[in-house]
Parts: sequence; C-alpha cells; structure tokens
Amino acid sequence: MANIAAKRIKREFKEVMKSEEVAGGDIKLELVNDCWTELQGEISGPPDTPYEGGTFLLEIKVPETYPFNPPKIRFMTKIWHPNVSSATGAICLDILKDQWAAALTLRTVLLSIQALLSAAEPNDPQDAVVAKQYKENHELFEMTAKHWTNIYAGGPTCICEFNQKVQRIQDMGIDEHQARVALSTYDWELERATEQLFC
Amino acid sequence: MDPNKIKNASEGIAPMGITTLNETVLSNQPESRYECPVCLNWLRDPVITTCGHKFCKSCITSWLQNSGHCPIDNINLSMKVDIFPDNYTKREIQEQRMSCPFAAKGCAVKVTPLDLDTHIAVCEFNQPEASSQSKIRVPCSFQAVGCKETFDSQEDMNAHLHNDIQNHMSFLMNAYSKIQIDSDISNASIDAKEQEAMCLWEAPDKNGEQSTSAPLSNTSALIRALYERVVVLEQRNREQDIVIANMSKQLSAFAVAKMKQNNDMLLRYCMGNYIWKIDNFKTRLDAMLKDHFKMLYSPGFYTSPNGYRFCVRLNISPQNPHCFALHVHLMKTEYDHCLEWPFNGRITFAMINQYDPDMTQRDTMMSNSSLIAFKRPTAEICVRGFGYTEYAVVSDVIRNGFVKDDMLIIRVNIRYV
Repeated sequence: MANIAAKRIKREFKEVMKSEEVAGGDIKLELVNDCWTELQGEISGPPDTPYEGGTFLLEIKVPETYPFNPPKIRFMTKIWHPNVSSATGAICLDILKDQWAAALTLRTVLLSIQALLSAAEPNDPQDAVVAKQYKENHELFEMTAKHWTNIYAGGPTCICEFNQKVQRIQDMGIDEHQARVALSTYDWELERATEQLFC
Repeated sequence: MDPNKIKNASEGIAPMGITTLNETVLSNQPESRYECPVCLNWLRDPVITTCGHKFCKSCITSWLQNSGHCPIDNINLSMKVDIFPDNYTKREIQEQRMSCPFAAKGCAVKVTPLDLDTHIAVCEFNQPEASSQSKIRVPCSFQAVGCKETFDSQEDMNAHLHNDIQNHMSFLMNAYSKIQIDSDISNASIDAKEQEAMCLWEAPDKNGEQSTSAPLSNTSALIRALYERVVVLEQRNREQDIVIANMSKQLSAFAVAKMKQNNDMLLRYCMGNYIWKIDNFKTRLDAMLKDHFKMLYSPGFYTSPNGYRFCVRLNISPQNPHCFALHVHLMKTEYDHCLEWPFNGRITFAMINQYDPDMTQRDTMMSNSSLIAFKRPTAEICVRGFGYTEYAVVSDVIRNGFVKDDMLIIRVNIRYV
C-alpha cells in the first residue's frame, strides 16, 4: 500500500477515535486487517427517522490511491433506504463518487452516510423499488424501513403484522429474507408477493 | 509493544487494533495550520491556493491530476494559475524544533518536523525497540538438531537455509549418530530385561500388568514384552476354556436334578390326584401283547404330602388276553409308621377319551380293609394290587379315541376317608 494512504489512514483512525461522535456512540471504526486497507465502520440510526435505535455496520475498503480516490464503502447491515441497495448494500452518495475530495476523511464520510439516513435523495436512487415506495406510499415506506431496522439492525419497533406475513410465506418454504424482500417490494400485499415468488 | 499501549491509553484512544500503529507517526502530529489536508502530515513544500487553502506541493499536484477542484471547497483550481508557493509557512515550519520521540531513552536530537521521520529511521535509540521485537524472530527450522540462528523474516531464513547446508548436514549427522547410540544402549539392556520378563510365566497376573506399564525404551523390548503377554493370555484363555466346560457340565447336571425334583414334587403334592400319561403307547402295547408278563407301572404318588403312596399298574389281563387289567398298589414311604392301617378310602379311575370327553370311562371303587392290598406294605411295592382284572377291551381302547398322539391318559384319584 502506498505510503501516503497508510499514513493517512493511521492519522484518520486516531482522529476518529478522539472524536466526540465516537465518545457519544454515534459512529465507530474498527480495523479488519493489519495493513490498514480494510476497516469496519458502525453508525447509529439518526433520531426521528425509521432507522432510530438501529446499529448499521459498514464495510470500508481503502484503495492504494487514497486519498486521491474515495474509499469504497457499503452497508453490511441490510437496510431499506432509497439510496442504498437492499440487495448489495451499495451506497449512492456523491462524495463517495465524483464529489469525493481529498480533504474528506473517514470520519466526515461516516457522518455524511449518517446524514443520508436522515435525508434520503429519492430522485437519485440506488434502489428504484424503495425510492418508488418512498415517493408514492411514504407511510408504508417508513413502516418497512422501521421493520428492517428492527430485524437487521436491532431497532426497537417490532411490527407484528409484517412479521406474521413473513412467517406465512416462510411456512411455504421460502427463505426468510427472500420473503421479506418480496413483501417489502409489493407493499406487503401477501398475494402479489407470493405470486412473484412462485411464478 | 508495551510502551505503545501505555501511551495510547493516556491519549484516550481505544486500544483495539491500535497496538500495531507506528507510534512515532502519531506523535508527530502537526497543528492544523501546518497540516496538509490531503496527507494529514506536516506541510512539505507548502503551496497556497487562490481560495486560501494550503497543501503540500506534491499532494495538490497529485490531486489536481484527476480533479479540477479544491479538495476543501470544490472551487475550480488550475495547477498553473491558482497555486503559489507559501514560503512564509515553509519558513515557520522549518523554524520549529521537535524532540526525538526516543528522548526518554536518551536521544537529545531536536530536528524540524519535516526531518523527524528521517531521523527516527536512523536514530540509534530506535534500536532497543527493534531488539524488543526480537521475541518474534523466526528460529531456524534446524533448531531441533542444534542450529541456534534466528531471523527477522522468512526471506532471511531461506537465505540461511540455502547457504548453510553444510552446517545443517553436520547437525543432522550428529543428531543421527546420537539416536543410534541411544538405541544401541537400550538394545544392550535387553538381556537384563529378558531375565526379568521370564518370571512372567510364574505369576502371570501381577507381572502382566507390570510389563505393560513399564516404560520400554526400544521397539524390540516392546515386541518381546508383547509376545510374552500374548503367551500368558493364551495360557489363561485355555484355562478358562476348561473352567467353562466344567461349569456347563455342572449346569446340565443341575438341570436334570431340578427336573427330577420337579417331578418328585408333583408326585408328592398331587393330593392323590394323579394323571398318568403313557407315551409311546403303541410300542409299549406291542411289547405287552408279545409278552403277557410285561407290565406298566406308574411312578408312586401321594394322597397327601406325607400320606399314603400308590402306583398304578396296567397290563394285559392274565385271564383274558383281549383285555387290559388296571390295579393300584400301595408303596412304602418313610412315614408309613405314622399312618393308619389298613388304608381306607375311595379310588377312582378315569380313562380319558381324548376325542370325546363324554366317552371317558369312569370307575369308582371303595377300599376293602380286609385285603392285603390295603395293609401296610412290606415290600417297596405291595405285591397285591386292587382294581379290575378286565378293565377295558384292548381293541376298544385303541379304536374308540382313547389314544391320541400315541399317548394314553389315565387319571387316578385316591382319597383317604
């Protein structure tokens, strides 16, 4: 790994550890390997959002050309958000792409991702299905996002109706997550979700 | 490693993963006005942009190769027109003096921040830390045979393995000859052991255990001990075979005795109610027809456990060879002197018809106290019997369903009155 990238990550790591966000439990950063190319981030769901109370893990890969190129970051925790792929966890955020600036750091990037959870950009979606629901049936979107937060990120709001529907499809022999994706996609209409799964 | 940990803790950094951090890099943290936002290090050949941000010359050059904007405020920048050397800042940084991070270990050197990394790399007080890392030096793979070299890296060791083949060969040779001497010594000690092992034959149990638990230093002694053990076990096996054979003999004898006892019990406790099953009837009848003096006697049975003992006699009637004669005879018992004589009671015969119970032939007689047959017997079986000289016609018995499965059944009931 290029000297500048390793040196900078070391300094950034220290900066994050000292930051008040870490002290307040908003974000966390951990090393995955010894050569500073891979880290694991953790952000807490912002208050007054469906993600409140959840803890989301992020995979951070630092390229050799860092900081001249952005780090590669994706959600490891499954999340229902217009700008995050519900399948792969890929994030659609300008600063991780063309708007990357060398002065940005892992700390500022993690905070930006956290901000993205508070303010989605449905007009620049990563997951078109989620974005459509966000715009057309916002109440259901919030419920679904809360449900996903509850199931995958340890969020506090348990939506029994959704759990029961997932269980019913599971009883037909479908994998739990697959069932949840189908139901979330078809606005929790059992018939349409089932139809799609078995067609 | 340890000094790093302590320092991290005092700086309030979570300890996870950070122990691998090069502490000297962190200790050299610049003030923000001297820090390059790209490499986060001291500004080296600082430049200033038209938007008022300072960078290392090389950092901003690299950045602007791919982007046309300031890394901080995204304002358009051109390498040619918007970047100026910041000699003021450069001079200020060069006037800074920093103590070597190994000052605590005795390094008195003070250098500019920019030269600090270079100095650290060559600082003589950097050595002890390197030697403290010697714990993780790789030992030579021929360590077991005596090579004492250790290495910082696998490559160094590979070079050593390649260059010192000669030495390693002689290490191996020494080790090999040592092993051979060891095994010779233990071979020599076998003869002494042999003597000791021979006494296995005398007392197999005790020494058998010893031979397995004793530490055997070489293979041939082990094989010898195992062979002896096998012989001992074979011997024991044979002995046990004999014991088993004896026991099974005893067991079958017991079984016969038990059966006999059962029959005796049955006869003693039948309360004068005896069922006489004559099997192989055809053969026995043929024998009787051939020789009219042949008679069938039943076992003796008791009217009560310590009462009178009778047996039944079936034979061809001496007066009429077409008829059976059927009599009861008193038999001697050990308690005859306690009984009242002559016997007084009722005797009932029933020849069972095994196909039609209604056809069963029943006859009842009362004893006659004037007859010798009911007096206290003087022989094992009283010579005089009591019953019918012409009880049943032989051909009727055979034809009319009294014999089934080659068996005739006569029930006798003798009751003392």
